[in-house]
Amino acid sequence: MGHTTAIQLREEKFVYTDKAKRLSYILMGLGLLLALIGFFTYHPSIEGLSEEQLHHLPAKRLLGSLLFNGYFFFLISTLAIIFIVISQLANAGWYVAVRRVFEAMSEFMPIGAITLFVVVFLSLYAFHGGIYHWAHDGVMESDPLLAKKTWYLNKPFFLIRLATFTGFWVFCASMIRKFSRQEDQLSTGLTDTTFFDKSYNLSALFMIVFGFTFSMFAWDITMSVDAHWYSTIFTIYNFATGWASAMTVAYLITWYLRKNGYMQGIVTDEHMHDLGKWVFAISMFWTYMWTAQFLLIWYANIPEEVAYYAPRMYGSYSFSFYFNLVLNFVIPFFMFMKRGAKRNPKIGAIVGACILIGHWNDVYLMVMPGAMNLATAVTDHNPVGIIEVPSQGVGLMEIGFLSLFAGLFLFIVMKGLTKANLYPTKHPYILESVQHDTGV
Amino acid sequence: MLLGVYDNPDATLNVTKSLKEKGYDVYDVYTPFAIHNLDRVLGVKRSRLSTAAFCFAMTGLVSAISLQSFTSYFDWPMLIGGKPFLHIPTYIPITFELSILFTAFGMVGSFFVVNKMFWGRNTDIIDLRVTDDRFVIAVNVHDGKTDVNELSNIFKKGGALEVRERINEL
Amino acid sequence: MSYESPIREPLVNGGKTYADVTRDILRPMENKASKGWWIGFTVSAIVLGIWIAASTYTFLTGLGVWGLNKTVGWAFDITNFVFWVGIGHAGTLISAVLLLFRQKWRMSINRSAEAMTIFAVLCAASFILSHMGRPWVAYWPIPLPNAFGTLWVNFNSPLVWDVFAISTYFSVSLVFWYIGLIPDIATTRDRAIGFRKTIYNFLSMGWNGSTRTWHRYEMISLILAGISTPLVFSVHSIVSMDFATSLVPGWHTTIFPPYFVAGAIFSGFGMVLTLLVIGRVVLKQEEYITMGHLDAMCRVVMLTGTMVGLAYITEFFVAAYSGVEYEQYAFINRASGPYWWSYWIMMGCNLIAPQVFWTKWARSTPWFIFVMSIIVNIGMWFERFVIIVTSLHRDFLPSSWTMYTPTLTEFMILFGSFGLFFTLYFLFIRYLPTINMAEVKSIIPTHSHDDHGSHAHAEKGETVHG
Repeated sequence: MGHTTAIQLREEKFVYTDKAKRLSYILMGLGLLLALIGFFTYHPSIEGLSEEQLHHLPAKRLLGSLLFNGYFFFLISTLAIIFIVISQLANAGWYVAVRRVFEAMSEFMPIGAITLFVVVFLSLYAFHGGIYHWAHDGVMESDPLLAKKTWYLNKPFFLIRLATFTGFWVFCASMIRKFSRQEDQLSTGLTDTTFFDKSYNLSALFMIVFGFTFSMFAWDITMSVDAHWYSTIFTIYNFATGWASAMTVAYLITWYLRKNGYMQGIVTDEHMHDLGKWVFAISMFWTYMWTAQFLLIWYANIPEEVAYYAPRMYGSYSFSFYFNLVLNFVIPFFMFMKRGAKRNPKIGAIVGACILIGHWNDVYLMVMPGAMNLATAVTDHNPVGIIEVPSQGVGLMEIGFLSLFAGLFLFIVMKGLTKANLYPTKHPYILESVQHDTGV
Repeated sequence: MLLGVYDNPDATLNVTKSLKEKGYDVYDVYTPFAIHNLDRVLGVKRSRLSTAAFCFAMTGLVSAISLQSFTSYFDWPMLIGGKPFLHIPTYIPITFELSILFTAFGMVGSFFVVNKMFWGRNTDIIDLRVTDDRFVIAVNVHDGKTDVNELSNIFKKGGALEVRERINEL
Repeated sequence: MSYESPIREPLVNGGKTYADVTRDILRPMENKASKGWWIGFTVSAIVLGIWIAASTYTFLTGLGVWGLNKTVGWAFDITNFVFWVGIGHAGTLISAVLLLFRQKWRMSINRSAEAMTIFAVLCAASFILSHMGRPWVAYWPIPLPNAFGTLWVNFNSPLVWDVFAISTYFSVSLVFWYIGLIPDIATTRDRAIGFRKTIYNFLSMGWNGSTRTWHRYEMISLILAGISTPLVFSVHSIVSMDFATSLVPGWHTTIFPPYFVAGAIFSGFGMVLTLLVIGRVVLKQEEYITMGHLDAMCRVVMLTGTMVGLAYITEFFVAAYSGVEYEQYAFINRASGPYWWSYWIMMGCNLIAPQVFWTKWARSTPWFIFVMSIIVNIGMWFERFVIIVTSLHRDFLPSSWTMYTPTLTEFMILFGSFGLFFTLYFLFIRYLPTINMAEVKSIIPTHSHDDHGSHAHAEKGETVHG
């Protein structure tokens, strides 16, 4: 019992200052402006493409950037609530002090879900398929391979899945937040497990449903962009991407709060160390998933499968491809392994920024190559009916939407933090968490 | 050397802490299990085993890559399944395994070396029950400098079951 | 003592003192071997004899005594290999992953689970040796300069990866286990006399319980746990790549690595439950391996069973989605072809049966848990059988389509491998402490020393003076 001071759980509210708000507004405004400039100044000229084909590209790039940015932030907020769910099911105690950070992050889920729905809806109906090759008029009928997929890949079913899955997750997340806030009002002391049990039971149900629905969700949103391609691990890979980013965001927000004088004596370096371990561990988990998918496809060298990696690894996206590995594996591995690094806000911020850029790039790499491709008639020379469009790079549109969503995300999360005490005061494990010590 | 024998980890920790604060030369504390924070109270320097582990891992990594690239690229290149001679992606599994193997064995080896542990070593055990349910604080007594009476009073006040002297050096 | 929430159930019942822990856990080693032990050991040794006989017969005669044919070149041997390797995953997983996840309930079960790991990997290795047909040239996959010029092993081959992975896993697990044993061996040494003292003194490496040693010991345990976690994942991933790097429909699928790992955890916990549900009663360790421990393990079984089930469904779905007819046929053939029964045994035992653990009754009824653990073992054996045999028996050439029927020798080797496993396990419970005493002592409440039975550590109220 190394602590000599008494621990006092107190009411502590986060104050969202105007100065902090201004940052979000600037990010949003600037982002929107950049994206619009980017959109209106984007006049691609690519050798071998007709005027009419080039004409489709701005809309595709707009929708693609919107989709992958929205998807990125939706994954972060969803995986934040999943982290709570998992910790709860594992009966973990240490995380309770930082639980509200994750809860606030999950507040972004509804906006993310709506963004995805709108972009998908516009793609499918307003832009003749937009970023989804399979949704282009006539493709499903003329492409013999895709014709076999109509039972799953069709517009109404796609939208129904998207709406019901995300709707259910948003509902569960809001219930978990609600239980957690109601718990704060208890007057029966720390042995009262009413809301703890409610939350636990909902978590068990949520986890099982999430496992099955998230699979389909990832196939829909990102895997079906490359409609011919398939990979069974793809879901877990997406899960890992989202999880690594969510842990990183939580780690950075917690540093921000502590630097601004919040949660003193409640959240200590020990918590940062453990959050840092999670960032490190999930980054390695991501690497494992990346390797499993890449190595098996590279090794077997089946044309249907390597078609996905060919443009990414050898084509115009190869910089992003290797950049991805450097940011998401090499940097966290070498910079975040040491104990001191996880407890150091400066190193933490650098590594955290690298990981976030890395996973943003990862999602970019999942969506954009397929999204920019053009549909054409299926012939013997072109059995997949795709004209590959070389990488258009990361430009104002991608960056602009990143800034827009980042600003929006920050705004929602900071607002979310003000809604309740900065840490649960009546959670049965709160005292365990406050006295958490990582040991050696 | 004066020994205080306890049956409770909390008392052991508290007594050690107050002895350290009063400036006694605490030689070591012997316990049946690791007591949380006791190492920090005792001022044990943080072990550099983790740095050693990293170095061993890198050694394993380099050896594995050298072995595979030497044999399959420089020494006897063979075309297998249309794979390039420098088939880097398939180096991953063995490189990973050898890094782990080197880390584990290197670390455990260094652990034994720094603790001077080896098979068949006979130690001078300070109290037979120290591996069962007793906790022993050993304090060096320096002639003329250490007040033995005060020391044994601190031991007893902290709940010592027994205070005894030990002549042999450990 | 770190603070524990009052709502957590105690991990050790009966208000044990430190001396009680030592006495209780060393009892089976210090007393004369019981009649039950002798019976169990003898039966296991007889079954081991069957294994020796059947393996010797195979080695002397050749692999023709097995039911393999030109199309199905891997069947019982590799099924058994993957089955045992899978079981060999729970030990390190419990020690390493649960340590990193701060799941304190692991402390009473990790020792026996790690022992199980080591014995199971030995069983697995025996199948690798025997399926080579000529075990005397088993050193060929090792990259040694050799008599054939300097022809090296093929580093592209997943089978060579396997050699590295399994031997690394075996040796690292052994070291991890031994490091964990040292303080407990010292405890045994300090209570023993005569010849036993000499032996345990030799093995204890001069452990003296110094805080400096403990400090390094804690660190090395943590690092070993840290590197064992990815090791556990990698080993079964590499085993899965024996299949997944191929072009065989039903084998080549990217989900194989994590799916095999989930399956390994699942089957490993199945086997741990089989051993501990019996062992805790026979060795009188109910107060250390409590109903709470069984409950937690049942939850893990349910969770991993569902994950494996999700992988089955994913495979099936993606085969349908892919539009590749060979993939589609492979899966339809699994579910409705000539080996349909093995597929449905797999589904029933691994996905459906563990769902009973949603009920409190199922998780708190030892005999039922035991039955379930056997079902899990059977299901996981069939999973490997389904993957291997049903994918192979339909070749790309329909003229090569065939069926596989195991021979009596193969059954004897499978059955006999349990003899190898249990013989080693019985020796373990007789000669080494089956529960990590040092760790258990660190989690029992300090105050139980003064007042037996009370859990005064459960402090109430909102202010705690640490």
